[in-house]
Amino acid sequence: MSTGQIHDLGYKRYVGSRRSVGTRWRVIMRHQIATAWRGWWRFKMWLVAALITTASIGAVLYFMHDRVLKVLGGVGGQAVVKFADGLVPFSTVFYCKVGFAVSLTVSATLVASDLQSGAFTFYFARSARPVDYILGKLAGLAVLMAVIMAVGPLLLAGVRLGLADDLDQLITLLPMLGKELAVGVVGTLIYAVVPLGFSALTDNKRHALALWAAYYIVVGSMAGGVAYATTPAVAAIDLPACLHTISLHLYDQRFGGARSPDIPTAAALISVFGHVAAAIAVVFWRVRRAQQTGVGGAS
Amino acid sequence: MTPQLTPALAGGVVVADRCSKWYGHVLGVSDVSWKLSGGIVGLLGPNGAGKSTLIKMMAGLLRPSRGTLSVYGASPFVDPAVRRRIGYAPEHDQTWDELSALELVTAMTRLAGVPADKADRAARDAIEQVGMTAAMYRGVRGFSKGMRQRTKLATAIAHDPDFLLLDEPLTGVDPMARIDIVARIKQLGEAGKTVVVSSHVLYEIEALTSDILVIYRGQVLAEGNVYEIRNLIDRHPHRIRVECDRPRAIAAALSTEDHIARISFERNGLVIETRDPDRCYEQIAGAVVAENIAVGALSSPDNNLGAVFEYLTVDGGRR
Repeated sequence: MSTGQIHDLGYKRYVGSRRSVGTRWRVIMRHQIATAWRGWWRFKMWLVAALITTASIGAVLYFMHDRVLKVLGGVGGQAVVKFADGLVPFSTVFYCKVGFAVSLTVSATLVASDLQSGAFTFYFARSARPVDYILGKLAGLAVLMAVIMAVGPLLLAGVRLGLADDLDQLITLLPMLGKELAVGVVGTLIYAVVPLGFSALTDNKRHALALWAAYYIVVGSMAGGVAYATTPAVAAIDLPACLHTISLHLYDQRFGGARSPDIPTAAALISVFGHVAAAIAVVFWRVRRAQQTGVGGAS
Repeated sequence: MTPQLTPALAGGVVVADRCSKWYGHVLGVSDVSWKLSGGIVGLLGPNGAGKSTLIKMMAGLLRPSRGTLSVYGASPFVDPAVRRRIGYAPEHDQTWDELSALELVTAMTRLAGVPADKADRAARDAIEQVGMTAAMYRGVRGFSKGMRQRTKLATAIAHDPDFLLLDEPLTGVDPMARIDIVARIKQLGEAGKTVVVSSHVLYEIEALTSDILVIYRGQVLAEGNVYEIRNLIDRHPHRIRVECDRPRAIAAALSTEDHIARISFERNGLVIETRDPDRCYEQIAGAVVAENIAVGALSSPDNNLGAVFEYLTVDGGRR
């Protein structure tokens, strides 16, 4: 039957081009971002929180570098400047809190939610593969998390560069951009990938959410406590402490807090990448299993 | 590896060759060999018969445990490119409820490979086809069962697939919506699509097509035209119902014939079970003329899909 005949019957055929199968992950990524962008509480609210954090720390940086303050402060003023510079690596503490909030509203329930809603039926009945789903979801979450975990710190680094006294200081401070980018990438990985792994552990989104929150808050805190009694490396289970450690290491600073014993940087890196690898493996296993068993509808 | 098919199964939209599917120890589909060449085909069977399993295998959502199943010559489970030619409306209603109908259909259309700039137009067209234009900006969460069924149909057709798999598309819809959806599915068939529609409700399938595949306990009991199927059931007598004023006169005229298996009386007539319908019809006509009997209606319950289904699944399936 020709296209013309079909059209005559009232059925409008789609006659345009079709994208190759390899582009499906991009569709899933865009859908993920669009879904997170819907409503205020999922992402926008936390984006505003991250902006407020950035603006607040930026304002503190600006006022502490004020030339008048430095002149008036003398030696004390220099100490203020040094303290202010320490705010940039320290800012990861605040971004981690925002990142955790976004992980709860966006990523920690993702796979479980798709399992519960039968969404895999929609994906795999079309020309999407498990690898497209995983890539798309990871990319979507990475974009969202990067806005929180990388863009804010990079802006702060930009502010600090803008406050340089002269060209020599500006050149000296330039590596800050690379350092903040590295911290941002690690932070993005932590809050995009690890909660996604937790969301794949169960097919109930509330359970997934509770698992991630418990692991992050309770297990993380306990690890910090155990680390004081045993070895600091144990605290590397605490992911925000790991990010903080990496950030301080890059700036050659040390900071010991209640949840932050002096974790070896190598242990922090191994922990972060170990968590990320395990999370990807769990997601892959779960999605593959969902595809193999045809989850998503009555049989 | 290209599966080696028996010559009778070569070619066709769907070719299942000794295809089986188990869920652990539970059998979903057993040793199904079937070829679908085109048109609208009703997949008929009671709940749990294996209809959804067979549909999911055709949609590429399940891999056969044994045997092969190909759609347009490729395995839909393995080859995502062939899934682009398939439109699937699942049985379940779960979906991305936070989206509007337009957003949902657009997302599905894009997942099927339609570029972003054309997906919106294709989705709007599909929504129009299923009569949902007025509600396309509303959230799916608030939709009735009938509206969800229409939306699912739109997600299945928006990317203009050649092969449609509609799993229980008429379940739970009101009579008016049922008529409308049936008309639209028929229109898709007329447009050259190959359509497989599953149902456990006989008259739903009967309203759509006379080509059926009867599945029961995971096995195909019969396939083809409902009349052809009836001819296959030679061990079951053909039933003829006669509504008349003097049923005993007709019974007396036929009772000695060797092809008559059984005669039972009803309130306004009788039901004759015969192994030779043509001869029986002639003899009924002869008796009516000879005895001057007033006949109100003459019908064959076996021409109704329900009777075939009853024979095949309840009676035939047990033997």
